[in-house]
Amino acid sequence: MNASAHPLNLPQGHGPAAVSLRGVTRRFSGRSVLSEVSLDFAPGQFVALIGKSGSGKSTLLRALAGLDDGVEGEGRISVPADRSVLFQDSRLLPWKNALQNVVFGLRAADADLRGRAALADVGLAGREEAWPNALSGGEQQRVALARSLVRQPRLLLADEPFGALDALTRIRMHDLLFGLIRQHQPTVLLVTHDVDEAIKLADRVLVMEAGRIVVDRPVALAHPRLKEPHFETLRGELLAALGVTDAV
Amino acid sequence: MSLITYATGLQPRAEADERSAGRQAPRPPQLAPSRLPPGGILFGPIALVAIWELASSTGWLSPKFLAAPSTAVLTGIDLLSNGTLAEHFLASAQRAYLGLGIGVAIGLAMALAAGLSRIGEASLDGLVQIKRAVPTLALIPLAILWLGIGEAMKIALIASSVLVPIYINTHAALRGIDIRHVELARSVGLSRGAFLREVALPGALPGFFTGLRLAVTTCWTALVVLEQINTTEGIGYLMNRARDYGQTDVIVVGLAIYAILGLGSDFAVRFWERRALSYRNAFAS
Repeated sequence: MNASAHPLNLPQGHGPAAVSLRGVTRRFSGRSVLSEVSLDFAPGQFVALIGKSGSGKSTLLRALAGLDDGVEGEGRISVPADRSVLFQDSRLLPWKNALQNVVFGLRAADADLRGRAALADVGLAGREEAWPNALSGGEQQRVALARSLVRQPRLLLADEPFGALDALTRIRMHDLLFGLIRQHQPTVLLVTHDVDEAIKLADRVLVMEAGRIVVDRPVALAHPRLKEPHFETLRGELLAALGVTDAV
Repeated sequence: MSLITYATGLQPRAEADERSAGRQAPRPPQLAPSRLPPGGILFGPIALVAIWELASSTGWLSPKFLAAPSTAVLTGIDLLSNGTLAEHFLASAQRAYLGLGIGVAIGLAMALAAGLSRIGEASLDGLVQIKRAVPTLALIPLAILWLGIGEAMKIALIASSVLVPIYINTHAALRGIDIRHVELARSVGLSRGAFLREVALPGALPGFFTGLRLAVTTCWTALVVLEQINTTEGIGYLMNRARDYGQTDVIVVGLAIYAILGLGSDFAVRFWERRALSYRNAFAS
């Protein structure tokens, strides 16, 4: 799979790609987990990456995050320096309160002010002093979301950020994330297991299998997408690409 | 069939009663003991003192063998009111806490050096493990030859026994830093200095406190032995002299003071630990 075989999927008139991968390969003890992946993300594009466990989607995200040093591989990756990662676990430091966690590592004179604003954005105004242990799973993940957005990243890398949340909390988080992404306009890579989540949120869905991108499809549905008649068609198509039939 | 007819016929309400109360599921066997009520752990010590007092007052326990608790209390009040106890107590406390302070400082410095750098670990870890295998008391002869039989030797030995638990626990905590936190720190572009301050040290604090709780006990244990050597003041001296005169009541007072100091130090460290690690006690409502 090389770059020319794939349409770059850049909207017209947007200048150079925000993220670009050329021939990116990663191997763990000789076994290829990513094979020759070439991709371009347009600035501000919301890309969802779905795939079965072990398909290589987290490896791709970690490569973009620069968290895979020591992993064998080759290829060229160009990503913005100001990027932030939203992990599956909220990864809050238990000895820092909510506000301190949000501004963790943020070097700015107005860090405190921005941190408070970011907490308010995720609906946690007034909980600045709360210890992570005193927050529910959903609240912890909202603090983590505030932590990734307070840096005003040009690239947000989200690794199954809602995977550990209950179904109701997940729906609320979708709305919250969608609203905040519209406001901040970063380029987003959302790695997920959840086909519905991918279609609901993303401009473009990638399906990964055995280290290769096997489907690269724009989502041109109006919001709210669950009400769109073509939602089901796209869902069936993506599930089929993942080798799942929705029989029940 | 006939049995059922018989039971319901004779006692029409029996079946309903049986369900609500009489035929409750049998109490499952209690697999784990339930929690003690507050102060429950005091039962054993109080019972021991009561039996001891009873044995003394009936004459079964001779005061030459062991003084009665009540006699020891009176002796303690006596020693307290004439100032003897305060003088010896201060001498002991000074030794123990000076040794503790120095030992904690050295143990902590070594743990940081070994936990945060490879050269530090290569140089120090093996040494501390060897030191750990050698009982402190076995070092007394050498320490006396090097430092004499005065205070310096005693404090040095207390410090050297205290630094082991501090080092072991703090070092283990530093080595066991959550790799996910390291990853997070990298993803937000934290500098090495900030990583130490904001992630490594707070993360190692629980380990340090575990070490400190062991260290306060260790420092009193070392003190007891060292105060048998060439001292003219201190709780240990008081007890040794009492042995020469056969004053079992003074010996009991000395033992009680060691117990109170040990428990008091442990309590103080736990109190400090609870405050410093208060974030652990917060729970989601």
